[in-house]
Amino acid sequence: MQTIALIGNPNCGKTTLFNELTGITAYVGNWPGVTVEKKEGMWNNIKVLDLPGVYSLSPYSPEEKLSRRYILDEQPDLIVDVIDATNLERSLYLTSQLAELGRSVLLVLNMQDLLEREGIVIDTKRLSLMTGCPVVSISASKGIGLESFKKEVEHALKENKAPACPLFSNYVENLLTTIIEDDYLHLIPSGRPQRWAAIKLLEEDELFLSSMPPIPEAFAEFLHQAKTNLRLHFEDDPEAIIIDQRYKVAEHIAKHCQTKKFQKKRFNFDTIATSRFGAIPLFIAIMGAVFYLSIGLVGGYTTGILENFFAYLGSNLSILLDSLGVFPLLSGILIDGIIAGVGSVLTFVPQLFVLFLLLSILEDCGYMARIAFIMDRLMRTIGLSGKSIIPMVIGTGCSVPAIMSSRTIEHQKQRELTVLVTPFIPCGAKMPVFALMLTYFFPGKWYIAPLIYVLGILAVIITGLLARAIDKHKEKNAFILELPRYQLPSAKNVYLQTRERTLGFVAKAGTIILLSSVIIYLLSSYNFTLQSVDSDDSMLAIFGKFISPVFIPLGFGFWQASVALLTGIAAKESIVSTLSVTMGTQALSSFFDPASALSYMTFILLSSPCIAAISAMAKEFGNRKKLLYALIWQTGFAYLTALLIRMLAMLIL
Amino acid sequence: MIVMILSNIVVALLIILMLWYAVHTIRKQRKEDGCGSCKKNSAHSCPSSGCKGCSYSNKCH
Ligand SMILES: Nc1nc2c(ncn2[C@@H]2O[C@H](COP(=O)(O)OP(=O)(O)OP(=O)(O)O)[C@@H](O)[C@H]2O)c(=O)[nH]1
Ligand SMILES: [Mg+2]
Repeated sequence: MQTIALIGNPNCGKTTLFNELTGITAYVGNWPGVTVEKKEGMWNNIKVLDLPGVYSLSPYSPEEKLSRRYILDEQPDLIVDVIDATNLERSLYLTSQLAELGRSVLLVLNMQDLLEREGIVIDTKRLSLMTGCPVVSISASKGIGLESFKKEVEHALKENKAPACPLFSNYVENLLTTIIEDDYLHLIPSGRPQRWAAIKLLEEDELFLSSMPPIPEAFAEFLHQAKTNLRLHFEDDPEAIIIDQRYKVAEHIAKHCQTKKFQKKRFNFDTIATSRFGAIPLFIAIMGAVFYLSIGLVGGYTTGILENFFAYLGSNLSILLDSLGVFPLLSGILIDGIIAGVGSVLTFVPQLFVLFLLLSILEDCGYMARIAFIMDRLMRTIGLSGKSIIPMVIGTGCSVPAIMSSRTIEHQKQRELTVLVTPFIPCGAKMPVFALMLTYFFPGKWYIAPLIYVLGILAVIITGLLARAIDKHKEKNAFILELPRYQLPSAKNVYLQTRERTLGFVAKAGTIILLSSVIIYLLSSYNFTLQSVDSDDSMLAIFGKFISPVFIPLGFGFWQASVALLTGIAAKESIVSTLSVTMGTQALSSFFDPASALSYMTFILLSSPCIAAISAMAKEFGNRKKLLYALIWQTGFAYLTALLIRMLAMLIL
Repeated sequence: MIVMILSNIVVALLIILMLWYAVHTIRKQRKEDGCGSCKKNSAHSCPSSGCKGCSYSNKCH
C-alpha cells in the first residue's frame, strides 16, 4: 500500500483536504496549530496522513518535531505539500526544505477560491518548472479541483520523480560540494540525500547530529574552518545564512510565478478588533452579547419551562406509581433520583446549545484568533506564551482537548504553566452550576456570567505572575502569532462542532449523571443499617459532615454542598444533579444566600477539574509530583479566592 | 394485586435497563479513550493513528 503525507504551513487547509478525501471529521479550526497529532485515513486504497502544520523542518515545538520525524523516518511515497495560495512566498520556504529530501513532492495550491478576491494570479506551469514538482490548484473547503488532484497524485506516485533542489549562492554551493566529498557523509542513514546532510552539518542541527556517529577530528576541524569562513563572508552565523538563502530562493520563485494586482484598501475590521484601545472593550462587548443571548435570553426563557416540565413529570409519575402500589424504593430511584438528577442537568441544554453555537461561530470566522493576538503581549509578560491562549479558547468547550492542544507551545515551562491554568477557564460542564445559581440568586443579572470568565482570566494572570516571580525563566522564542483571515463561518464546521459539544453534554447526562444520581439518591435515603431515613441522618449526610466544616468559612458548610463538590470530580454537571437530588433546586435559597452562592461558584470555577481533565493534565505533565502540585495549587487558590469573594459580596450586597 | 406486581416489575426493569445502558456506555467510552480500541489493529502506531486511545496515551502499541 502506498502512503501520501499532507504537510504544509499551519492553517493552510491540510485537515480540510484530509477530511474531504477520507470522509473523516477531524477538527478544523480557523487558526494555526489546530492539528497536534498525526492522523491516518484511507482514500482510494492509498494511506493518507494529516500532519501538524510547520513553517520549516527545523523544529522547535513537539508537534513540529513529530512532522519532521515522520517525513524523515517513515518515508511516505509522496509528500503532498499543501500551500495556502494567498501566501505563496512563505509556503515556498518549506517547499525548499522538502525538495532537499529527495522524495517526490506534489504542490497543492489550496484556497484558489480566494485568489481572485485578493487580486493574485499564479502561473502554475512556471511554478512547476521552477520547482520541478507537479502543481495542482484546488479549494479544499469548496471541493473544487479534487478530480485533477486525484490524477496528479496517481501520476506522481507512478513517476516517483525527485524535485529540483533549490540552488543557493555560489559560495554556499561550493562549500556544500566539498562537505559532501568527505567520507563521513557515507554514514548517514539510507534514504537521506547527502546534500541535505551537508546542510544540516552546517546548520548544526541538533536532532540530526544526535542521530549520527561522532564526527572524526579532521573533518570536525574542516567543518569548523568552513563555518568560520562563512561567518566572515556573510557576517552572520551559518544557521541564519542558510535560512536567508532559503528565503531568497522562495522569494525568487514567488516573484516569477505570481502577479499581484494593486488592491484598493478595503475597510478592515482589524483596525478596531486589534487596536490598542478598542480591542478589549470590543472583546468584552462581544462576550457580553454571547452570554446575554445564551444564558440571559434563551436561558431565561427555557430554564423555567423545562424545570416546570420535569417537576410536572415527576409529580404526576409519582401519583401514578403510588396508585399502582409501586414500592417507594423503586419509585424513589426513578423520580427523586433519575428524573430529578438528570432533569436538572438537561434543563440547561437549550442555552448551552446557543452558547456552543455562538462560540464556534466566533472561532470559525477568525475572531477568537484575534483575541489571541491581543492577549499575546499580556501573556508574554506573565510568563505564558502567546500560543497559550489557544488552549484557553478551546477550554471554553472542554478542558480535555484544551489541555492536549497546549502541545503547540515550544517552551516546556510555558507549556506546563498553560496546562496548569487552562482549567481556570470555565468549561461547558461548569456552566449549568453557574446558570443554576444565577437563576435562583441573581435573576435577570446575566452579566455576572461574563464576569465569571473575567475571574477565570484573572486567576490565569495571577498564577502566571506568581510562577514568574518564583522561577525567572527567560523566554526567547520569537513566535509571531499570525492572524488568520476573516471568513464566513462554514456551516459544516459550526454544525459539527456544536453538535459534538451538545451531544457530548446530553450523553453525559444519560450516563455519568444518571449513575451518580441513583447512587446519591440511595446513599441519601438510607442509613448504615439500611433503614429508610430522613436525608439528614443518611449515610451520605454522615459522610458529608466529615468534610463540610472545611467550607464553613466559605459560607457553604452543609453536607449537601460538600457531597456535590465531590461528585463534581466525576463530572462537573453532577454538582447540579446532586444538589437537586439531595435538597431539591427549589430549596436552594434556604441553604445558600447570594454571597455564599457567589463563593460556591468561585470555588467550582477554580478548584481542580474533573477526572478526565486531571488525567489529561497528568499526561501532559508526565510526572505525578507536578500533577499533585498543580492540583494543590488550583484547589488552594480556589479556596482563598472564594473566601475573598464571599467577604467582598457580604460587604457590597 | 397483579397490577401492583406487574407495575413493580416494569419500573424495576426500566431502572435496571437505564443503569445497564449507562454503565455500558461509560465502559465503551472508557475503552475508546484508552487503548482498547486500537490494540487489535497491529498496523497502527503511536502516538496517534487516528484512534482515540493513542491521543490520550502514548503507550498503546
Ligand atoms: N476559503 C477557503 N478556506 C479554506 C479552504 N480550505 C480550508 N479553508 C479554511 O481554512 C481554515 C484552516 O483549515 P484547517 O484544515 O484546519 O488547516 P490545517 O492546515 O489543518 O491547520 P493546522 O492543523 O493548524 O496546521 C479553516 O477555517 C478552513 O475552513 C479553501 O479552499 N478555501
Ligand atoms: Mg490541521
